[in-house]
Amino acid sequence: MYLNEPRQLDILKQQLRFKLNSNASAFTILIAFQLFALLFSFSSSSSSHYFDETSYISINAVTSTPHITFMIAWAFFIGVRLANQSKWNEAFSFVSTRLTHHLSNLLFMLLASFLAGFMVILIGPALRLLANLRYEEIDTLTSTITEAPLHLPLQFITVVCYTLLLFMIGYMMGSFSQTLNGYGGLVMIFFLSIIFFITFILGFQMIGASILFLFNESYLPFFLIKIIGLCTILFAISTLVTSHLEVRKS
Amino acid sequence: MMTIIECKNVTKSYRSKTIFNELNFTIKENSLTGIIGRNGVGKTTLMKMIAGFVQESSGSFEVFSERPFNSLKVSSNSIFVDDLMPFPQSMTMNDILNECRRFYFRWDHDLALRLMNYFSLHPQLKIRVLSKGKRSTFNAIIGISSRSPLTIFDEPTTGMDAVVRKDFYRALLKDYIAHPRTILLSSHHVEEIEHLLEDVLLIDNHKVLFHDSITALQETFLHITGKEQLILKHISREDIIATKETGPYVILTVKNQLTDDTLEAMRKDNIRISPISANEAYVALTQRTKGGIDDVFK
Amino acid sequence: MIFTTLLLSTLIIVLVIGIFFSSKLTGKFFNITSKVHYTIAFSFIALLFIMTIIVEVLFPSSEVRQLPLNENAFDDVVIGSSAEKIDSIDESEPVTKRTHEIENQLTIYHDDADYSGADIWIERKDVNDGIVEEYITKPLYMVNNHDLSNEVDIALPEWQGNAVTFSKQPTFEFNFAYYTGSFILNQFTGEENYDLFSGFSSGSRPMTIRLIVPKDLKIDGDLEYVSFDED
Repeated sequence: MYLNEPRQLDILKQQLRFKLNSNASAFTILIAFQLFALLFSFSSSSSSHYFDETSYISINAVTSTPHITFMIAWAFFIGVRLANQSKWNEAFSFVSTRLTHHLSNLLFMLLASFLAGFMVILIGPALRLLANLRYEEIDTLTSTITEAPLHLPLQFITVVCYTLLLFMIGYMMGSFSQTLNGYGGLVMIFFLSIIFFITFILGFQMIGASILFLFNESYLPFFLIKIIGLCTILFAISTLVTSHLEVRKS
Repeated sequence: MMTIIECKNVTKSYRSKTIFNELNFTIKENSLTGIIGRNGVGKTTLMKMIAGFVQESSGSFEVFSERPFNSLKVSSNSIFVDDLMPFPQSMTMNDILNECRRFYFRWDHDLALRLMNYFSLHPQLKIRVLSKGKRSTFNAIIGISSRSPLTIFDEPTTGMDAVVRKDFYRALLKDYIAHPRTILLSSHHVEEIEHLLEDVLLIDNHKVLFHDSITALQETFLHITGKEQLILKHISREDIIATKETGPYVILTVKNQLTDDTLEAMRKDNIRISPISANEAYVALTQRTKGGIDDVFK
Repeated sequence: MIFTTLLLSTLIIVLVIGIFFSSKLTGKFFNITSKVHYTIAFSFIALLFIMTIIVEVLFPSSEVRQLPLNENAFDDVVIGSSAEKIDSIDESEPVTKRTHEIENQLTIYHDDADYSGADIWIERKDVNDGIVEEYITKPLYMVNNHDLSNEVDIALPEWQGNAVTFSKQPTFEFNFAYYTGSFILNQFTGEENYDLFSGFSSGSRPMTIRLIVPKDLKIDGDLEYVSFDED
């Protein structure tokens, strides 16, 4: 009898295509998030100052920060969803191993980060256009693409890195949620909370330090090393945690 | 003939509950084997182990000469079909068939579409709108069309009506004859599948109770019909596995260990001796208590 | 808010109509498949791309209204209340200085019964020279160290004979809108980050009208909002 002996790479490609087909709705959800963020771009950064009965100053800031925030939140939730039990079982309805499942998820998250990053950096100029239509006179405080075209790839790389990181954090959380009879995620959150609390008592702001570890980095190659390192660790944890997980356990 | 599945002293347990205890069997290629047993004996667990979804606790378990858990070779040459085959809810049946076409190297897309048409499944519908029976039918179509060298059907007919079940078995048999491969089939309706099966693997009490051809299963017991007093002149009560009363006569199920002389003597006393169906043999083999359900109501 | 609500509502209505008419026109059961999702995603990106091109053609350069910075001005500002002492007023930048010849009596009128929007101080000289010196100091409006004072219209007091009428200051409305990129995007571009999360700080000081009057000049009229420097 002739048996098929496929290469991991071929199965990886098939799994990736399958995941692109089965998770396509994630991108429509992203667009919905971005449209919702529009409300925050225009109204949340405004302030009004009434000095007295005769004077009033209104300051309106239009910024793409809400869009990036929503996109990062989207990445986290999609990462959790990709690692949950139903997606795990779906992958094994076709030809798959645990490695190809995880690698194909990683590739999907990478592609999704690129697409989302591309969307978000174009949202900035689109917002600028809407702002010019909305307000008679508007100041642009950051360089336009025409003035600084080289900023665009730098911005793209930065956004993709943060998105991928949040994907991986969500993916790890989702992987843990499959362990310990479904309570693994809660257990992990509990232990992390204990660690944060203890370090807080000892005078060290771990959450702040963790965030500043990346936000304060001004040298791009070091930033990339940090991101790659963190993503590798998170991915490794996710694969280890699920290495002996059974399929269709119910 | 190549050995497809080899199971040596395999034990599977979950915490304190033992599912199998030193299970031993082999399954050769190009056979249609029924995996049968009472509810909760571990048929599904065994099939999932064969598919590589669940790992054994101890022992040696090989499919295609490899440990099946996390094996790419086993995954690409097998398919596990049950009523709960999880597919993305957002995909249409057509999308899923296209995915199958890419994954399974022996996939027959035309056959799949013809079967979809025959069973009135609209390819553009999404999985989530299907009824339980239709869902099982769709999964069964995938199992047949994949023509995987090892095809595992775990209760594939759940929710199907009698007509659809009959058609499914017929389709499976026809395709198996045209394209031989190793098929494992479990079902609670043993009487419906016994005409399909070549071999039977009966699991009971954490072990393999019976593994042989279906004919051998049928020949394990006999039905003896006649007046009870008369029959008891030829056999002892200890030989009786089950009793069924029908008016003045009884139908006794006994192990087929009677000599030719005994059988001849019984025939002379107008005691009828007949073979039993595989289903009845299976019930007889796995009966826990003497007597049947009728005794509960005496 | 109205603008964005309209935008969003329009988008939702277009989407619903699109789905409805698609099913009607094609006559087939409309399924949102992966193809539809990717079409929506790439169409959205294409739309953003077109908008980017439009904005870069129409508004290719960043423009910043050069509002003067005055980092020390808050030192002089008493936020929300008038100057308590004449000495606290910054005398370095008077808007105008005028002199008026007044005989024995000065009558003060206000345009409005309410506070006019300017602080009025009267200080007496040592001599009776019949001259009233009028110093008007511009109001100060600060937001995040940007000095908006030059944008303010002021109404000067009207002098007629021995009377002065303090007019109600015109309403000052200033709408300032700006676009800035997110601080995450600009982590490596070297662009200055405008930290929106620290909030806005603002302060003001109303216009001050300071009258230096002859020693024995009689002053009457509406003196409710007039302060006298008794030193």
